[in-house]
Amino acid sequence: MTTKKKIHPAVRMDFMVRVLTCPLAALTMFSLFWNGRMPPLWLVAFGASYGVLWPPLAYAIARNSRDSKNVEQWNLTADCLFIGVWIASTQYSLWPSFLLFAALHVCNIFFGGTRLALRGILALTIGILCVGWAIGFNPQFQSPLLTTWLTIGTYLLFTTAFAYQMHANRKQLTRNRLGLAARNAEIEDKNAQLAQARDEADTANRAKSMFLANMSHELRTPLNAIIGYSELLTEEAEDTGNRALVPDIEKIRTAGKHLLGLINEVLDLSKIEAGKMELVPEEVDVAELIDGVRSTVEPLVRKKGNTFSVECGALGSMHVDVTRLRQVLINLLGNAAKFTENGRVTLRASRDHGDEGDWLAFEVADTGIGMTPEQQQHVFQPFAQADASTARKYGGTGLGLTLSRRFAHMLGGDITLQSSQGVGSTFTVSIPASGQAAKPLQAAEQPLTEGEAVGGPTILIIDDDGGGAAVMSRILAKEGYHAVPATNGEDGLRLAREIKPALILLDVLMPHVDGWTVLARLKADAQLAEIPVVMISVTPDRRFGVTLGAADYLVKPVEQARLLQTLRKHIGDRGEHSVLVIDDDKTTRDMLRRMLERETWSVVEAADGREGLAQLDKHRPAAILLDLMMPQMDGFTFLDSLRQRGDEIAVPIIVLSAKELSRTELARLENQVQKVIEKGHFSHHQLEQVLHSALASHKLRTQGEA
Amino acid sequence: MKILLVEDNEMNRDMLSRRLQRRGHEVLIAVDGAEALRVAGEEQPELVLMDLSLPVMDGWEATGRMKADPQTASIPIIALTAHAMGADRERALAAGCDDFDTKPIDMERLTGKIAALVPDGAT
Repeated sequence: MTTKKKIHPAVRMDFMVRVLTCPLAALTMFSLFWNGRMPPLWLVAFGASYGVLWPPLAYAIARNSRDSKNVEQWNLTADCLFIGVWIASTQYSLWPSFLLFAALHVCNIFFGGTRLALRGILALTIGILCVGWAIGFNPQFQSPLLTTWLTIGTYLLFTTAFAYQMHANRKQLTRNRLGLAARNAEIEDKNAQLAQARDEADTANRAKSMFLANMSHELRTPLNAIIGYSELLTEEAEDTGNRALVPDIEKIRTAGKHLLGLINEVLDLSKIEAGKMELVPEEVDVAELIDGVRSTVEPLVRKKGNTFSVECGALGSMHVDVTRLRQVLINLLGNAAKFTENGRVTLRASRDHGDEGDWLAFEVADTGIGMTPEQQQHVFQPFAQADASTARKYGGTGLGLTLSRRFAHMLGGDITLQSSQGVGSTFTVSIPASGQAAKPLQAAEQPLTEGEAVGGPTILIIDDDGGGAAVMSRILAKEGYHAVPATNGEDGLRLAREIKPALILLDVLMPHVDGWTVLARLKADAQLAEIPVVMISVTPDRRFGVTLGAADYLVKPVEQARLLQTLRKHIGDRGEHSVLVIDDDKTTRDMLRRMLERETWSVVEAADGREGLAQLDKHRPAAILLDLMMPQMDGFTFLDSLRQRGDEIAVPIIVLSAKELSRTELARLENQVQKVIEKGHFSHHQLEQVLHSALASHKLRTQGEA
Repeated sequence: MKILLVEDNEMNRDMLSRRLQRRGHEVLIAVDGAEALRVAGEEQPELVLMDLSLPVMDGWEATGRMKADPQTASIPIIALTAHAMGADRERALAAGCDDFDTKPIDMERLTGKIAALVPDGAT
C-alpha cells in the first residue's frame, strides 16, 4: 500500500498525453517499413516498449517518488532521448522527426522553461548519436506518405490532448484563486470584526472600572450611615433603658457590616481583574503584624469554643503591602473559625532561607470540617464554596479565598491547601520577604515586559488548563526558560504582542477561541508570524497543524523529554544561547541586546559589576560581554571577584572597551578574558563571530585544563 | 473637649457629632475646608477631625494651611476618609495630619486615637 501523497498535476496530465500519443508514435515508426522490409528486431522491441510500456512506467515512477515534479521532468527528458532514438532509427525522415521534436519541445518549455528544453535537446542529440554510432549515419530525409499522415495525426492528437489538459488546469486554477480571494475577504472581514469587538470590549472594560470606582463610594456611604446609626441607636437605647431593642439593632448592624464586607470583596476582586489594584509595600516587622492579626481574630475564633494558638520563631522584617497580607491572614483565620467548632485553630509563621532570598510561610491550621479532594479543587475559584449547602449554613460570598490567593500572587507568593474531610484544613501562605519574586506563574496577572524578562528565551504557554500550564512552566523554569502562561486565546494573543516570546506552546482545545483560530491569527500578524508555534493536543493531527503554519506538534500528556527536545529544536538550548551584558550605559546595552537577539542569542543585562555577579548567581550564561568603566564595581574589580570565587574560567568573557588600554591594563586582562574589542567598531556579524570563536577557544581551553 | 468636625456628608456629620457629644465632647461643625479654617481660627478647638474629599477646599489643602498658620498649627488633626488606600494615608500624613482613620468609623478605635493625641482631654 502506498500512502496517499500529493502528486504533481503534470504527472497525471503527461500520462494521459503519453497513453494517447506514444503508441501512435510507435506505429508511425513501424509505418516506415510499410514497403515490405522487415524492421530489425531491436527496433521492434524498442518501438513496442516505447508505445506500450513507457506511459504506465513513467507514471508509476513519478507517482511513487518523493518529488513527483522533478521526476516527471526527468521523464520528459527520457521522452526526448527516446525520440532521438526514434529519429535516428527511422533514418531522419524529415517531417515526422520535426513534428515529434516540436511537440516535446513545447512540452519541455511549458513544464521546465529553458533549462528543461535545453536538457531535452541534449537528450535528443545523445539518442541520435548513440543509434547513429551503432547503425551508422544514413540520412534519407524521406518518408512514405502513410508515415507522414500518421505523424500529422500523432502531432494533432498530442497538441489536442495537451491543450485540453491545459484548459482544465487553467479552469481549476481560476476556481482556486477565486476561492482563495473569497476566503481572504472573509478572513479580513473577520479580523475587522474582531478588532472592532476588541475595541468595544476595551471601552466597556474601562467603563466598568469607572463604574466600579464610583459604585464603591456610592455603596459605602449609605452603608456607613446604616452601621453608624445602628451603633448610635444601640448606645441611646442602652442609656434610655430600652434594652429590649438592642438585639434587633445589633442585627441591623451585623447585617450592615456583613454587606460592607461582601461589597469590599467584590470590589477588590473587580479591581484586581481590571488591573487597578495597586500595592503599597513597606518594611514591616513580621512579629508585630502577627500580633495585630491575633488581636483582631482571637475573639472570633474563641466564639465557637475553639482554642487559638500562635506559634512563631524568629521572623525579622519583610517588604510587603501589609494591608493586603493582613487581609489574607484574617480571611484564612476567619474561615478556620467559621468551619471549626470546639476545636483548635493555629497560626504558625516561619522564615525560610532559600536560594532566591528569604520566604515567609504563614500556616493556618484548623481541626474543622475539612474538605474532600473534589471540593479542594474548586475552593479557590470565585463564587465556588465547597458546596452550595455550605454557603447556606456558613454564609460568605465564596470570594474570600479567591481574593486571598490573588493577593498572595500579587505579593509574589502563593497559597497552598492540605485538607481531609472531617479532620481539618491547613492553608499555607508563602510570600517572599523581599516582596518581589515575580514567579513566572504570576506573569499572566502582571505581564513582564521584554526588558524585565529574567534572562532565558521567553516561552508563552496558551492553555486553558491552569494545571497543565503550571506543570509545563515548572519544567521550563527549571531548564532556564522564562515561561509565561495565558489561560485563553485572547490573553495569549495580547501577551504574544507584549512580550514577543521566542516560542509559543498552544493548546488546541480551548473554550471561546480555539487553538487553530489563535494559530491563524498569530500567523496573520506580521509581527508574530515568525514566532514558532508548537501545538499541543490530545489528538494527533500533526499534518493539519503543520499546513496551518505550526512549527511542531506535541500530543498530550506531554513528556518532559519530548517537550525540551522540541524546544531545543526550534529555539536552541537556553544555556548555550544566553549572553550576560554588563555595561552601565543603557543605550549600549540596548544596542547589544538588539544585535545579539538578531543572532538568536538571548540577553541578560546588568548595569555594573555587582549586578553582573548577582545575575551570575541566578544562572550561567554562555558568555559575558563586559564593559570596563562602570560605577559601583568596574570591569577589573568584577574580574577580580570572579577569580576570587574561582569562577573565572567557567564562562568566556569578551571585554568591550571604549578607551585605549595601557600595557598594564592589558596585562591585567590577559588570561582572564577571551578577547578585547573596541566599542562602536563592530557589526552584529562580527560580534557573532567573536562570540563563536570565544566559545570555541574557551571550550578548548577548559578541556585542556580539565 | 472641643472638637471641630469637618464633614460635608450630612448623615455622617450628624451621626458622628451626636456620638461625640454623647461622650461629653463639644462639637463644632464645618462643611468644607474654607469654613474649617475660619472656625478653627475663631474657636481654637483642641482637635480637628477632617474629612479629606470636601467641596470648595479639600481636606489636604485645609490641613496644610492650618499647619502653616501659627495660630492653628498646634491643633492635632485626624484625617478621615472612605478610601482605605495606602496612597491616601501617605498623602494625608504628608499634608500634616497627625493621624488617620478610615470610615466606617469604629468609635472605640477613634476614641483611642483621640486620647493618644490629646491625653488630658476630658471625656
